[in-house]
Amino acid sequence: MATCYYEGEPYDCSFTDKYFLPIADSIDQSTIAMAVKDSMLIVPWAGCFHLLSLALLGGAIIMADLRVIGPGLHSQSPQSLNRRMQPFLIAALAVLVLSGVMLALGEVMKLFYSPPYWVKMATLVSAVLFTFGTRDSLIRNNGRLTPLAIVFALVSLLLWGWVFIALTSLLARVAFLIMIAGLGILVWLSGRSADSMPLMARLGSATTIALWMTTAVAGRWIAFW
Amino acid sequence: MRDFFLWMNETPWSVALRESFYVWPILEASHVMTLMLFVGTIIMVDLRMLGLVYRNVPLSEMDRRILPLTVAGFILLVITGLLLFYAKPLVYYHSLFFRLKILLIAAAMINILVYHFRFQKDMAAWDSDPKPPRSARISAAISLSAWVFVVITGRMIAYDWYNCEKLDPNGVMSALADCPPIEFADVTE
Repeated sequence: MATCYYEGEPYDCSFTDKYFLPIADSIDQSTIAMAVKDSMLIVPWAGCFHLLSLALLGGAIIMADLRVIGPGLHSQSPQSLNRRMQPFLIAALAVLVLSGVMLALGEVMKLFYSPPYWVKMATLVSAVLFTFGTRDSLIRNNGRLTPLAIVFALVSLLLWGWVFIALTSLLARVAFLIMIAGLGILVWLSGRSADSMPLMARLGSATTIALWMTTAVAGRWIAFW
Repeated sequence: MRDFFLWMNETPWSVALRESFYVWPILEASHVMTLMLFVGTIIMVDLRMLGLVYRNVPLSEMDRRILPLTVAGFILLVITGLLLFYAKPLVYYHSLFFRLKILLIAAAMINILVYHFRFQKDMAAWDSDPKPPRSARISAAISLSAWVFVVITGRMIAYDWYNCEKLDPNGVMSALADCPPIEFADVTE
């Protein structure tokens, strides 16, 4: 607990409220946030671009990672597909972050107290770390784990595991477990085909898909909280 | 038609669906997630048809290996979309953005049919070309832009700028949205 002051009067408040609420408040009152809130059009259009780049990200992930765990263009190597999807993935992420910032500036104070928003931020960080730190290296090295890839995987999965433990909703936990089970079955099934990738690479790609799906679902859930 | 949706709006399941705490958000979230599958893969197929990516991949391989994913995504989108519509039929029936979205989907479908029955016949001749013929590229460009605008109009349904109560009752927009006479306007929500 910490002590906050309201018009000079002390009262008990959480550490988050004491140290981070003023920051959120000043972002909320900044010129750019004011401009976003005053504009009728910025938030709706940011929403559209957010969705379109989400679809592009989905396409890039599907083409590269689904190939590793089964369906996809088998005339191409996973390495070549991943290389060719990289620019799309990065472009989609850039637009997602940019439009996401615009969307967030429109409702800073609501997001500050929104669990799905913080879940999304945590899974976003872990998805980015895992995708570019672990999964890329796994595909490039044909399933061999490099020390650096292990570090990225540990940090990312610890963060993700913490999110799962912190989830308070039973629905979210069930959905999470169903998704993991589904991807696990896919990984297992894909191991039986003749030209399958090594298990580690398949696990890496399945995890990447799962991480981005959690990020996207948590993002959608912000609106329902 | 409005009477039919008015009736649908009052069916117990429709009321239960729109008032449900979890089912409505789950449907909505699934609709958006499936978008990654459907629009994501169709973008890649269209870009291949435009000759912009996967230039060394035969189009027939895209059709065989990627299009089934697209179709699966489409089926899921239609199912979740129909259920969402069933939950709030009157809201969507009177929504101009929703009407525009349906028209765009129809246009995209017609484009697919035209491509399939007119241009795809001689596909064997240019299957492996890095850059498919003009007709195929035009078809891909139409498809890509149609789906982009389907996503945009879909997102805009959430905004009420052009809802019946904000339109001039005697204006063109009001007629296009089939708005009820003003004394019944409250029935729309």
